[in-house]
Amino acid sequence: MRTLIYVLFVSLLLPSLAMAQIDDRTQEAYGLYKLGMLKDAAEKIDEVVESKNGKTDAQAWHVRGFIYKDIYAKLENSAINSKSQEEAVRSFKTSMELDEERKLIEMNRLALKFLGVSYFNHASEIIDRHNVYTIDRANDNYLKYKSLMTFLYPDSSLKSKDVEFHLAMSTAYRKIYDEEPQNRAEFFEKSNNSLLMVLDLDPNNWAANYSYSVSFYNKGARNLQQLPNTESIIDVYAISSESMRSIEIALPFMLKAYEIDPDKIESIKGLKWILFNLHQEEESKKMSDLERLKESQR
Amino acid sequence: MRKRFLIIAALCAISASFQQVPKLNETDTSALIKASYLYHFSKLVDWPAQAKTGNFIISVMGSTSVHQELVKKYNAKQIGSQQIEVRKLTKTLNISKCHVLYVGKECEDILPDIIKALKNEPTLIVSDASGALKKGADINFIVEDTKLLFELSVKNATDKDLFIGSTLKSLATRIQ
Repeated sequence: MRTLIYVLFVSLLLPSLAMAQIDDRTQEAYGLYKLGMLKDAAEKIDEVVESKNGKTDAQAWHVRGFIYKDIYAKLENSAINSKSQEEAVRSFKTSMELDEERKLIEMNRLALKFLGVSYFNHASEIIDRHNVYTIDRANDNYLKYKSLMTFLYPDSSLKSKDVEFHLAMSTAYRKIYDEEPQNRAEFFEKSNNSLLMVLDLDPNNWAANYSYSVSFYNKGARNLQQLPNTESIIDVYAISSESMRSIEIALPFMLKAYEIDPDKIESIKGLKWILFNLHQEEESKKMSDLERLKESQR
Repeated sequence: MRKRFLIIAALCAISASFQQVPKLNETDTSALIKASYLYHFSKLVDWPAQAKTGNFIISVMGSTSVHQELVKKYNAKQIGSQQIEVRKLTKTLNISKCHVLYVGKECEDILPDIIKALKNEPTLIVSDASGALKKGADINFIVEDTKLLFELSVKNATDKDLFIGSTLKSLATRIQ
């Protein structure tokens, strides 16, 4: 898909530049670019935009954007955290600001959309890897994507994208935490903070309510599974008290998830277990009966 | 403009597989806590000399989940020099010798008869029933504000030559 978009707008670019009146040095840089000599083209166009006249030349910044975009896409294989990608963005934005006659507006916008999508793709790749050392970079890339989209479409809302992103981040943080819960408590916090961000944007989000509840319930249950390793009954008392507090936190969020979608078997099961472990056995039994009923209707 | 934005948004949707709700840990946490308490009660009560040989037997009547937890996590441990042995009992008054007997809620109705049957045995009877200490149990699990706690009767234990240590007494919600 990314290649398709790239081919599409490069083919659109060529006639637009051929028709435009451009400075000789910019023309020279563009010639190098067409020959695929991207590093040489970059050196040449950098000289242009650093010069007194070139600094305010929308056309020069436009060409610079494409040169750096190709360095990013071709030479760097669309690498994450590419300086060239950032230079391309900066160049197209500058070109848009200087382009008073708006001759280059469509091409600049199209190129910026491509770069915005690339930032989003980087965020997705980082989330997918859920690597403990790199996961936070997903945030930087998503913020760059958002910044570009807001620049291009100031009236549009990115709320649903934010929800989607924070849910995915929560999942990635949780996976990292689950690999080593004893040593990665901060990722438990990060996962839950991502869910709270979703709930801030959309309090009726089922997945966020359910996940937040299960996160705390599981934390309580997991702590209790460490009880056989305790040396003292005082530790048993302390661990069980702390664990029950976690399970208590889980209850209102599971109740909310059930209220949002009473037909979801996951919330019914969740309530059954949480209520049971909070010693509300009659209420738990009602949920157990409801679970059986729902399963018989499947 | 809105329409064009939507096209771009569609191009960069995060895969649904990245957004997975967590799997619920289906655990009977009460059983985990009770099993752990039963193990620590065993460490903090002193049995008469004649009970300090052979295996240390913890019997469970009712409550399969408490029995399973004890077998899984505590069967390999020791009380002093005695190897723990966990036994599951059916609902019966014919109870073989054991150091600790846990009587689950399912068997609450026969608790007075069990207590009578073990009156002269150095068996710590742990129950899960309201008013059980008055009926003769030594330790009883109770729930207060969602927390699983315990109450104990020093007298009931002492009558059977069982000595309850100070740590256990200090953590009990009520002492009779």
